[in-house]
Amino acid sequence: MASDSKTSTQPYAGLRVIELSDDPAGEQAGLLLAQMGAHVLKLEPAEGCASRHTGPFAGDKDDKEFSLAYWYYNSNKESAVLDDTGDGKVSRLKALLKDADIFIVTKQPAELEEFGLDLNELVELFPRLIVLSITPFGLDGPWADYLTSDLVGLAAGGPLHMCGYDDHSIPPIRPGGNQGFHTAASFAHTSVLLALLSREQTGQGQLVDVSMHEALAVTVELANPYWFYPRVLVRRQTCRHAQPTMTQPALFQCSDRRYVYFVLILAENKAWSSFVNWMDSKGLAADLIDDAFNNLEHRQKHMAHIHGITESFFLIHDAETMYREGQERGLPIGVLNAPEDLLEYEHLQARGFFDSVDHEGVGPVQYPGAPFRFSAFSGVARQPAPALGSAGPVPAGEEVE
Amino acid sequence: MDFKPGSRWCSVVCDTEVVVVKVPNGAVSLQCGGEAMVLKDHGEKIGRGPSSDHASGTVIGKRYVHDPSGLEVLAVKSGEGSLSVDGVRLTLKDAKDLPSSD
Repeated sequence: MASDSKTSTQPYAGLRVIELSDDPAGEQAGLLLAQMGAHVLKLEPAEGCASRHTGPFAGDKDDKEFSLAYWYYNSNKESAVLDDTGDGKVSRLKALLKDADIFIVTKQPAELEEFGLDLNELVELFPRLIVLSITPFGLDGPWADYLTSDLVGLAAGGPLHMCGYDDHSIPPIRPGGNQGFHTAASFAHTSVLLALLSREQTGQGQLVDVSMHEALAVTVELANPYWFYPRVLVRRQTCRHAQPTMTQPALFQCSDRRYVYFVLILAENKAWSSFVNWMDSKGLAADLIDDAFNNLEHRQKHMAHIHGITESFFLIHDAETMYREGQERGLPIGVLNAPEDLLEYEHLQARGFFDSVDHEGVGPVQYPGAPFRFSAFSGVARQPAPALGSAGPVPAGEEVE
Repeated sequence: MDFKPGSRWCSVVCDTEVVVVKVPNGAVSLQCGGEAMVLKDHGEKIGRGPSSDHASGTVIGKRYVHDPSGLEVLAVKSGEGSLSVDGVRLTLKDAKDLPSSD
């Protein structure tokens, strides 16, 4: 629980961010700053940014103010229209950047050139400005202007190869939730913090060039070391890390058709004893209580037999019971929750994880809250994403030499 | 016979005891050694062994299935009798060929 020493300060209070982003990576990066107190002004074209036109829509109302994707990614921001036609847009933008700490931009090199924007020039013009560029493949290189999507990013970067099922007749499966874009945003967040720390010491901003492709290329768990050293490829598995050889399944269906995830490390004697005692307490350990199974080699040799009894054990109990009883016995077991299951989960309710945000014309909507608590900072209440241009038009600025 | 997941059934002609893992889709009669099994603590041994054509044994820790009904049981005690449903022998469920674990 937070101590009484909380200040009224929010972690990023005072930071002024201008966001010119049109993909989930840039919007997520802006959200990470906004939800910790930074002032984030999102610049949009007259028709609204792309996420406004991305369904599903609240109440099935296909309207740029009702996109759930836009709501999620743009809470706690302000919106201004930067008319991107005509010659005045760059001077208007520069007028805003003059007083900004961070500029988030997702335009690729060809788009920047068409817009008339030179990111290196911005850093020279505004020495304290941190320009955070988040692009699919970085600001240079032969792929710099290639298009992307979350799926393309995950495929080209490597993670997709490792995601899917034991049955390799099923192709790799993209994990849900824009994880490709969010990985890029996570790296962008870290890098902007480093740039801020550097600025504390030097007084200088800089251009930070974040490539989603590179962020994903280093988010492949064991695939890289297995290739770098023994030149071995990893293989995807159901609900387990990809490995060079397939490992024992860890997903077990229960009587209520829900699943638990349970990793039985045979070499761990304490876990083995705890597990067998658990099954035996219900009369289901069968021959696993025999002394022979106290020997690791015997257990390894009879892994299939152990797995069959384990499957049966879970099949005749519901998932929640297995999860709680297993946890009480110190076993590494978890229950697989669908996103909708989490809304009523007692632990998350007790911690007040979800924020309720009132949306005009819709009513209260549940949002996931921040996954961290600071003892020295105050929290940031979740605010609805702004209506298009609600902060007013971007005024014409003075010419910046 | 009212099969519920987790219900225990005992042979009346040997020591075999099984636990229901998957219930059958329809009414069936689970037998061991040629005789109907009874719910644990709800019946007595009948004083003879399994019939000769149902005496191949049931092995502790193995799973047995009746494909037509989907009934699956786990043997928690071995016995001399073999399992059948309406006279049809249950088959041993193949253990998955798993890599040895760490």
